[in-house]
Amino acid sequence: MSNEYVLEMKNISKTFPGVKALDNAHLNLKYGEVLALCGENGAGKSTLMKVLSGVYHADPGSGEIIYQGKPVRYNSPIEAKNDGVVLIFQELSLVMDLTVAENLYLGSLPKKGGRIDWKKMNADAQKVLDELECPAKPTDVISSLPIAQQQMVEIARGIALGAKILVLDEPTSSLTEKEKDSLFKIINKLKAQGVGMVYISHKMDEIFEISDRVLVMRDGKPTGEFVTKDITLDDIVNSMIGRSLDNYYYKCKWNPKEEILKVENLSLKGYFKNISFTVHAGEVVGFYGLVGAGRTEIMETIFGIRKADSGKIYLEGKEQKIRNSVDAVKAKIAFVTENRKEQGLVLEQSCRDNIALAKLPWISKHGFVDIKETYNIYNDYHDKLQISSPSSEQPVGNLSGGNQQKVVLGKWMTLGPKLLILDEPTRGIDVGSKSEIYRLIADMAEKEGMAIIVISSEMPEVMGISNRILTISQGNLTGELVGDEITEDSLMRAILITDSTQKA
Amino acid sequence: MGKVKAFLSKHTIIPIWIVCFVLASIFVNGFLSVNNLFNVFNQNAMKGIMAIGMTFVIINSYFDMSTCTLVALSASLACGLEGSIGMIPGIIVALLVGCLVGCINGFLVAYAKINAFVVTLAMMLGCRGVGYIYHAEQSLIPNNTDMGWAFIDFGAGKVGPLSYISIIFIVMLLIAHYVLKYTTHGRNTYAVGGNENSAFNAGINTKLVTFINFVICGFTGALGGVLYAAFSGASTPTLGWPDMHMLVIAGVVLGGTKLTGGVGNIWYTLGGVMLLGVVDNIMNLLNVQTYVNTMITGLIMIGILYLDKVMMNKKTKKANLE
Repeated sequence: MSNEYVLEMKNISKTFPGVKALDNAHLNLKYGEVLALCGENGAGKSTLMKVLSGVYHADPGSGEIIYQGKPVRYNSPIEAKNDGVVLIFQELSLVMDLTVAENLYLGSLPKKGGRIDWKKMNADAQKVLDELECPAKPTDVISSLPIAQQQMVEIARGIALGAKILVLDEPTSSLTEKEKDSLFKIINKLKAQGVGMVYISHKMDEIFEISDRVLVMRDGKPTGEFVTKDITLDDIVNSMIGRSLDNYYYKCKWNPKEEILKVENLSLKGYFKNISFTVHAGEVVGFYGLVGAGRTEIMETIFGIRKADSGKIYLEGKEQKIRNSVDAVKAKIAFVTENRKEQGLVLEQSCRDNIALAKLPWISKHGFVDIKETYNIYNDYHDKLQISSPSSEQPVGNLSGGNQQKVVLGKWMTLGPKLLILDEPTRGIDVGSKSEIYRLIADMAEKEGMAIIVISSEMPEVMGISNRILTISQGNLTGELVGDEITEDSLMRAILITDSTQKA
Repeated sequence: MGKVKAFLSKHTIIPIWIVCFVLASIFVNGFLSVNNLFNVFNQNAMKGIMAIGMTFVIINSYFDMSTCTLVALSASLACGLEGSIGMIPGIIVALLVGCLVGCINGFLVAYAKINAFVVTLAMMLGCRGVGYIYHAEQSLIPNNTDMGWAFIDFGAGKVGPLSYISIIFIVMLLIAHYVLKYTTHGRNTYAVGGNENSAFNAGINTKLVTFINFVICGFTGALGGVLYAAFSGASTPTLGWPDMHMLVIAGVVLGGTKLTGGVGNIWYTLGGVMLLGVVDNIMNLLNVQTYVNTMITGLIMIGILYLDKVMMNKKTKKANLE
C-alpha cells in the first residue's frame, strides 16, 4: 500500500489566531498521477500545500507527512525543494535578468577549474529544455521570454533538481489556450516519468482534462475524494458548497431608487467583453466570480484606472468620460481596493490623517490644512464607524485589519460618494470585524442612499449581503440573480460556465 | 539589420558614443587626434578603476557614496606614511584601510540591514573627516625616500601613449570581466541584485555576496586614490572633492548598468566613464568655464537617462502588447 503513494499527509490541522485553517485534512498522492485539489478561496488548499513545503508547520501533536515511505518535516521550502518536493506558485521566482541556464542551476552553477563552465551549463540546460519541448534557449534572458515559457523554465528547474512531487498552483491563470496545451503535454510527460503532481485550479474544464483524481476541500476539511473519470461537475460542486449561512450578515432592505450607474457593452481585450449592468441608489449589488475572472478590471475601468476598448459608462443618466481616478473622485465614485495596505492607507500616519486624507483639498485654506477640522472629521467617523483605536494619533499600521478597513471606508465616506465600489472588503479580517463591516455596508446603502458594488470571492458573504448578484466568468457576465434565485447551486454554476462547459 | 538595431538598443551606450564621437570630431578642433584621445583615457583611468568596484555594488542593487572621500583618505595615507614606514608599506596600509571601509559598509548594509544610502553617506563624512585631520590642511608629498620619488615617476610614466596607470586600469577591467562572467561570486552578484529572494531560496549566501562587493568597492576606491596621488605627485585635502563619487556612480549608470540591480557589465562602465571624460575634454577644448562644464555634464546625464528610460518603457509596453 505505502509503496503506491509518493506522498501521504494524515490528520493535518493548522490553527491561526482565531481561525482553524486546516481541520484534520489528509491528502494522498500516487506516483505518476495528477491530483486536482479544489475548493473555494479560503478552503485551505494553499495552507495544506504550505504545510507540505515547510512554510507552515502543522499544529503540535497533529499530523504526519510521509514522503516516499519516510516521515518528513521540512523547515523551509528550500529544504523541501532539495528533497524533491517542488511548489510552483503563480508568482514565479526566477531572476529576470539572468539567462535560462543560470536560473536552472542557480545556487549550484557547474564549474570547471574554478571558473563557471558555461558550455556544460548551457548543454545541460538544453537537455532539460528539450525534454520538456520548451522552445526557449539556454542563453535567453528570462525577461525576454513570454510568461508561459518562463513558467516552463520554473518547471524545468524543478526537473533539474530531480522533483518527485510537483505542486502547481493555478498554473494556467496567465496562459493562452495554446500555451495551456503545451503545459498539459509536459504534465503528461512527467506523469509518465512517475512524478506525482498536485494541480490546484478553479477551472473545472481543466480539472476534467488533466487530473486522475480530485480532492475537494471546504473549511479546512476534505469533503470529497473522487476518481475523475467516474464523476460529473455536479459531484464536485456539491462537495464544494453546502454550508449554513450564519446570521452575522446584514442585508439592507432592498429599496432601489434612482439609477446611479449604467454600464453599456463595456469591453477590454484580454479582460472582459460586452459587460452591461445598472446599479441604483440604496442597493447593494454583489459581483461574484473567481479570482481573475475580470471583476476587478471592470471596476478599475469604471474608476478610470484602465481604459475600455469600447462601451459607455453613465452616471445618473449622463455619459461620463472618466480618464483617471481624479475624474472618478470628482464624479463621486469611491473605490475601496483589495490591497488596503498598499493602495488604501498610509500605514505610518495616524488614523486622523488617514481619514482626512481625501478631504484635504476641501479643508485647506491657501494651502494650509485646517488641523482642527481634521480632528472633527476623525471624531465624527470614529463614532459613526466605531473604530477602536486608542487615540486619533495612533498609526494606522498598528490597528487590526478590521479597523484599518473602517478607516478606509471612513476616508471615502468623507467625500459623500454616490457610488461606492468595494473590492474584497473583508479579506484578511477577523470574523467579528467582518460582521461590523457588513453592517456598515448595509447602513450606507439604506441610510445614506449610496449605490454599492461589492466584489467578493466568498459565496456566503456575497449571498449574505447583496440584494442582487451579478456573476462573472472568464470576462463574461454570466448571470443576474435576484431574491429567491440566489442559491449556492445557481451561483456556483454561473461562475463555472466557460466556453467549453457550455458546449458540454 | 534588425539584429544590429536590437544590439544597439540593448547597449544604448554604443549609439550615444557614436553620436558624441562623430559630432565632436566634426565640430571640435583638436578633438580627433590620437594624442588627445589617449590623454582622455589616461586622465580618466583612476576614475575608471574606482568605477570597477562601484559596478559590482550597483549590479548588486546598492551603491556606495563613500568612494570619493576614501580617495582622499587613501591618497593621504600612502603619501603621509611614506616618510615614516616607507612608500610600499604606506600603499599597503592605504589599500587595507580601503578594504576596512568596505567591510564596515558591507557589514552595515548586508548584515545589519541598514539603508545603503545612509551607511555610505555616513562613511563618506567619516572618511572626509579623518582625511582632513591627517592632512592638517597641508598637501602631502612623498619625496622623502627613493621609493617615494619612484612612486611619483610611476604616476607620470608611460608605455608608448598609455600611462602605467591606464595599463593597471585595463588589467583590472579584464579581471573584473572574468570575475563577473566566470566566477560563482560574479553570477551570484547578478542573481542577488536581480531578485534577492530567489537567490536566497536557491541557497546563495546573499549577505556574503553583498558584503564582498562592498569590500571590492572599498579596495578599488582606495587604489584609485593611491593612483591619483601618484598621478598628481601629491595628496591634497580636497582630492576627490566635491563630486567624484557622483561622477563614478554616474559613469557606471550612464553605461547602462541599472541602479535597480541585476543588469550591467564592466564594459558598460568603461563606456560610461570614458563618455564623461570625453564630454569634459570637449568642454575644455571649447574653453567652456568649469562651472558651465559641470552644469552641462549634469544636463547631458539627465538627457541620456531620460532617453534610456523612455526607450525602455516603449520596449516593455510593446512586449506587454505582444
